[in-house]
Amino acid sequence: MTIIKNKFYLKTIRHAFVFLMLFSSILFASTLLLSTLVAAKNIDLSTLPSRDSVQLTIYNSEDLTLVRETRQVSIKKGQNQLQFSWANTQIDPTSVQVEFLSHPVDMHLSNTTFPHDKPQMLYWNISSSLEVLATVEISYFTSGISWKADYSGIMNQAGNSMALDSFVTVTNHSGENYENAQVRLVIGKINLVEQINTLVGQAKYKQDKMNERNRVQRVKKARTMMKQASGRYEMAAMPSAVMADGIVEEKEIEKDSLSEYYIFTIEGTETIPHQWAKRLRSGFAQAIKIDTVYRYRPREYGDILARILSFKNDKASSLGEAPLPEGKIQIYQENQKGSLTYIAGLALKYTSIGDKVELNSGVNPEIYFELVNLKNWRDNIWMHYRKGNLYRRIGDGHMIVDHNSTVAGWNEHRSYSQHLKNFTEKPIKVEIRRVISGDATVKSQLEIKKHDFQTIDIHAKLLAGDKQELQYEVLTKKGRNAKQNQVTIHRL
Amino acid sequence: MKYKALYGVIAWSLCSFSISNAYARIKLITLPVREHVEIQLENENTTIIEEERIVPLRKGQNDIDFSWHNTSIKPETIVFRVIDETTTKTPEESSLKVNVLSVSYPPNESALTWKVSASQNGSARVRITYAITGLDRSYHYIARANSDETKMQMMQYIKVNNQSGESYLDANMNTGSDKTMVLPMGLNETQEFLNHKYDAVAIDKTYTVNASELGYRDRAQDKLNVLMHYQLHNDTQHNLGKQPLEAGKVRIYQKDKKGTSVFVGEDWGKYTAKDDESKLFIGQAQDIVVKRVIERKKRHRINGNLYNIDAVVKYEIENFKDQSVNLIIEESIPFLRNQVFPSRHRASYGNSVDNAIEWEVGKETSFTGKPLKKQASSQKIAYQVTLPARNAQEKVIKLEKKLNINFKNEW
Repeated sequence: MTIIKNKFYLKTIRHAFVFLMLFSSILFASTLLLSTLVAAKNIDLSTLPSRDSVQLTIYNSEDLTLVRETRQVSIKKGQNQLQFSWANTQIDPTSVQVEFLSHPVDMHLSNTTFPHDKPQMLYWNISSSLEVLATVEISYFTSGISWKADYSGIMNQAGNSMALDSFVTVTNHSGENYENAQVRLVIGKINLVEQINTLVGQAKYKQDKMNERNRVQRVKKARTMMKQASGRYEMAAMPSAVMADGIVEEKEIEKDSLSEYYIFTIEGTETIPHQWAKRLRSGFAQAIKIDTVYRYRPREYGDILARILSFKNDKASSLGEAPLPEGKIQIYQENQKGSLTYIAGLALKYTSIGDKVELNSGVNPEIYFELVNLKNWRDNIWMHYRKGNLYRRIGDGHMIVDHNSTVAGWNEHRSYSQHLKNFTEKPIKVEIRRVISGDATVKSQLEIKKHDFQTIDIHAKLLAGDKQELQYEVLTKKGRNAKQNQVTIHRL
Repeated sequence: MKYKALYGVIAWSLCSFSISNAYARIKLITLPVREHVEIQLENENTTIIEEERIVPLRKGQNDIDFSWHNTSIKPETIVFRVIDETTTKTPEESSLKVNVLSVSYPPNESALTWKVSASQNGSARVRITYAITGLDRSYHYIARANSDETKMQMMQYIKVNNQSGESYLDANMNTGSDKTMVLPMGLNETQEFLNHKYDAVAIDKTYTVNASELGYRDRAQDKLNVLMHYQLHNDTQHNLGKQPLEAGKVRIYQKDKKGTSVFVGEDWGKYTAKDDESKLFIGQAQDIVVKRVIERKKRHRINGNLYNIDAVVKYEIENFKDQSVNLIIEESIPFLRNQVFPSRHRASYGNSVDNAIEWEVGKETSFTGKPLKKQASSQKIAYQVTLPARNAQEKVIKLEKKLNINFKNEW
């Protein structure tokens, strides 16, 4: 709970006490009043100005939320002291700032005091040339508020189109209830040199020690008050646009860019009490064209032929308005009865505007995939003769018979057949990526492409019920024969 | 006094904190019953429930609570859809528009609240879809082979087990096969039913030996294990092929001469797509004896440390059964190479170059016919041999087959 107090000394009250003292005939009363006078300089009268507005800017890459709240505070001419406390919250004490929105010229923050005996509290000493009701903005970082994106995709029966709902969920574990807050969500990775919850922890350690002393008493009081409390927490929110027929439209989520970041601003305000979460739809695309390809890439997907569903974050897909933040996507498919079949729950990575989303939905048991090593052989074998440090190739005719000679270099040939069977009732596309190490040449009648210096790509299309055997040979130079470390393609 | 003020603030803060943690969720709820429930068991890893309810809505904003205490719903999978019934409703009813504005998740509860806006008072048909754990299905099969093991009757059963914490007594169940059925599922209940029955499924019974993969039955006598399999073809020629065969345990029975069913073995059947085939291991044959010995191995030095190795494996085969059988003899090339050239085997550890074995079939091979293409690769060679039955005098014919392999360019 954050509290702001405006305190000042009450000279008028002190005068009243003096007046009473003069007319008192009882010594006890006089003594008592005297003692009250001595303590009077510590009596605070605090006003508790409530928040007029609050804005939460929540970052998804770190446990960080920037809170900006405005309050109306009565300021007298001269020196003023504002107390700000945030017991049992996750506020970073090093981040708390105050600004004077009204009368910035007439008011000046002299200094900020962090009392040694009261953690999670500070005093702003403000000098003012006016006596006025001022609007101040208090900003601070807090941890414990987070947001995440998630998606729900429903594919059509043919599996070539998908309706995609995008959602954002804000969760509040900050210890503070934020009522009627404007909520902004930041997509992007920022740099922090210290985690906010670490900074909170340092301040909270002192607080916890102090709290422990009075824990039992406070719990008793709290329980008494809780018994009196009733009624459900009202999850109020500013209504969205109300149409002519009286229906409230879903809230618009405005998407804007700033530097390397994107900001989603939820229309109106939201109330998100401590420990609650709230989910809102951030986008909807009716019919995204889905491309399905079966990929073998052991380095990325493991030793499986993975079914990859892909679509583009562009206008043709009714998307492309903003990047798709990282989040989980649940994919369903409509069946003939209009019900849904569960396909997979997958992780969608951050996708820029215009970029492609690729989702690995696992193995389809109706696709048979096996690599068979048909035959191996060697040639171009070179022997090393220690005597004279000579090298001779087997079969060249001038070979020296020497039992102490050793094999020094050779060419190794391996022929492969990539077996593919499509037992589904649809044509499929298959992409195979294999690593070929060493100084190697791939020979085949297939159109094989080089992905990088040691990786080849083989693509194939199979009709429904089709079977194919993709054959190729890998020649690898070994030992002293090897001159390079890269693969070349030789089409036969 | 300063401390008193401070304590006051702390107490007030704590109470506020505590109260905010203890939202008494007093609410008046209309409880629309499930109109229709479907259980989707097609995905073997994730079961989906779809329930339709008619929800009364008043004009403006409405809160719809959905809670799942003591059930294992995955909250991230919950989908709320308003079903468009424009074609089935009167014009007045169909003008009801419904928007889902937000979803709120209260703390420490298995619940959520949809905030829904309605254009007028009325009822909306909504469909709530979610994944649930503890409600799953498994397939298993009972197969009854005929006496000569050429055909069998195969029954596919589905077992549905409900440990989800929720009962579904009037649900349509979609098991992933071509059928949908109404199956009342009580709490912690298991139901089993016959899903398909396939008659006269043609099968191939095979006997296989492989010293490397299947091992020896009696190493002292060089006798190999002889494993029996039923080969299943999921196609119409074999009276299957209507749908894929899901993975599950297959228990195989056979009738004896008295007509009594005898359990002859079981195996885990793998998922078999339409037009694909699979193999069921049903046990070991004791009445077929295959002895394997390496009759010869000879190194021929090419030069220095480079050799060719000539190896001959001899198989002595006896069929003690009174019927002819087909035996598949498989030989693992790396296994044989390591037997005849062990120094190379030791050298191969940590050396990736050495799995490429260059070899060819030698002239002394006495198997008739070509190697089996299906099993053929650089790592394996296989031949099929037809073993004659015992003759009338109960004499067993011993067959002798040789496999000559020439390993080339070894060092």
